[in-house]
Amino acid sequence: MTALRKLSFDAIVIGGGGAGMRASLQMAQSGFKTACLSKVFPTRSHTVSAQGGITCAIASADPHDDWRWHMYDTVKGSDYIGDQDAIEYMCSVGPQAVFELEHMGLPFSRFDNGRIYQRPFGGQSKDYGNGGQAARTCAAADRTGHALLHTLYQTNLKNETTFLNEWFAVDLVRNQSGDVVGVVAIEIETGEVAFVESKATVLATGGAGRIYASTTNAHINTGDGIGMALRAGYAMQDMEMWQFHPTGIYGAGTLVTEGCRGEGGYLINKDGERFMERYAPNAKDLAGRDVVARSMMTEILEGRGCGDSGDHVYLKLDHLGKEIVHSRLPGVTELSKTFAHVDPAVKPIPVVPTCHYMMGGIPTNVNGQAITQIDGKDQIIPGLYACGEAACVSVHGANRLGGNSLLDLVVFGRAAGIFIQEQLQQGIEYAAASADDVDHAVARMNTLNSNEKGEDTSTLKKELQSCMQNYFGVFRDGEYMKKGREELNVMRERIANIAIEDKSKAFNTARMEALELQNLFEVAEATAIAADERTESRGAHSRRDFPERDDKNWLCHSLYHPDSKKLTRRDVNFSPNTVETFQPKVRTY
Amino acid sequence: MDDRTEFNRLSWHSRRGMLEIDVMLMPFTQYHYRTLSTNDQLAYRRLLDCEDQDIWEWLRGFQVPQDESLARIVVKIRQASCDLGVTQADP
Repeated sequence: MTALRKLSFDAIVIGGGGAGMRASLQMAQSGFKTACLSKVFPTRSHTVSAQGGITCAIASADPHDDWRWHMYDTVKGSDYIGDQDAIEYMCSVGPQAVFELEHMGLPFSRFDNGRIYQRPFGGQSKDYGNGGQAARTCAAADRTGHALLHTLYQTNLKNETTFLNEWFAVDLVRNQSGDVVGVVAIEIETGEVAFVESKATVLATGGAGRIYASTTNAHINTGDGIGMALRAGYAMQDMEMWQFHPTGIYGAGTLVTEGCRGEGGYLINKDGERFMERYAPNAKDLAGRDVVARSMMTEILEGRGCGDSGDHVYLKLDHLGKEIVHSRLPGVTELSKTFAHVDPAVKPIPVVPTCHYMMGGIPTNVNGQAITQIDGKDQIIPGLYACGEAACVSVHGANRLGGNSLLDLVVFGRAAGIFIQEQLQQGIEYAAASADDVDHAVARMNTLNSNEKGEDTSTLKKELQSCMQNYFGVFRDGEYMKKGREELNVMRERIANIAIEDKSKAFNTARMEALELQNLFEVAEATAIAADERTESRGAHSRRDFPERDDKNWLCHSLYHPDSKKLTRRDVNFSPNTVETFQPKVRTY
Repeated sequence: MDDRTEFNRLSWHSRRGMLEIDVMLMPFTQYHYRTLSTNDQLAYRRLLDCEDQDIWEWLRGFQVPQDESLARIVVKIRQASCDLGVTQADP
């Protein structure tokens, strides 16, 4: 038995991004003893990268705007596997959640009449797709995510949320009845391990784009909450659904805007061939994101990729001339010089399809309660909640629309907070965890600390990321995925037995990175199995061997069960409360 | 804080909310920090306490920090990033 320091709270939120801090704020405002635990300082969370804005029908740009139109766009964007009750909730409650942020002092940009500024984004329509482009994304200049984090952090401080900054959550603690009663966590600065006990544990740990070699995600996005939930044996939903962007800079992953191709740039392979002419004779390089990304991967897999490893292609702009490149694409010039070390007016930019967003995650209802399935029936997991990118409520289904991620964060962070606060008011009683229960959650870390022989984190991480990129990226095929799954099977034990040389306590980054890699592996395996077993193409999930959407068999969520490693189906909700169901249609834009 | 712990702290703090900053700060900490003068090391530690949004504007050259020592370290990071080459950008 381990004697651990114990901290007790009414509610604990793991993750200090937009979703986590919105949830903790709600509970702290009600006077409950609330902690927000984050491995990084909260305002350095990945939410800061969501610069574009928060999509919401506040009827500012257009006084006739309607949340039902936003709902229509979101259902269609999801390729019809977004839950319509959850999308209805998000779109209808959204305006209230946004105005609350305004009242907290979030510095939104303004129209001349003083109302919140809204800009147009892709996939936004008026009148259920019949009224042309809508402008529905509320913005604080190009720093909306930054402004959101700061507003929430300051308001949490005012409401006396306890911040456990630079604490790393290791695993969930469950009592003998299976209720989640907190987490075991490390205070990074000292290396001290503690049991953080709570009546409600909210996982708001964000995405896990680092499972791929090329991703726009920051290095902190390692799916820590998903890893914890999978190790506890809970099911994950729609883990095959990852959004990819075609032109991430090779090596760095940072995005180059589609505007480059709009200005006349095009992609070439190692022979200098403009290959998009073969795949999309009409639209060529301006075909849809998924089409371009898949064509790039085909070139690479068939041996026509560029560079020593043949693992990327080039985006050519130099034929446009220095003047046009530098004047029309100054941001791209700067990005390319900084991250690819080439001036795009002189040499082509090395690019590769790049992972951007995880649509899947911990299945929840609109109250943030985590759900698993036993014998095909939904079961609430007592004490466990999730919100934000880590959760799959599901409002994004098979494909997320721009600007909907920030709305997801604030609406469902808030909703989870409201629900937990009501539960706490009614009284929650769970049996206390025994010393054995806590020990169980410390076991993985103890193994890592005591391992003397084993492989090192960075080699294994590279192997994992390369396996996921090659076999489970943009381009999916049963034959390739079988090979990828075999590689993962071998990797599991190697990653479970990582050894770290540095056994010190304070700021032991090697330990954190090893624990993160183990989380990434859990996410990767769930993704691999779900991608292999969903035998259709839908939204972001695209298979060469099953190129069509198959509504007869797959108009449903996938549910990955970590103990059996089996995939089952879960019904999509087609029963919104106040509007008619949006029936599945062929998705064209 | 001993030297190794302080270095690990800086490594942890050079992982930020934005990938664009990660790929510049993480290798800088790894390969360049120890070679800096005491004054520059101090400036770098101060830079890590700044906001991601500001750091990004500085690192991509769209703005220059008013503080002279921060401006100096930003130039060094930009230079190091150019020298390093793509394949090492992701330690």
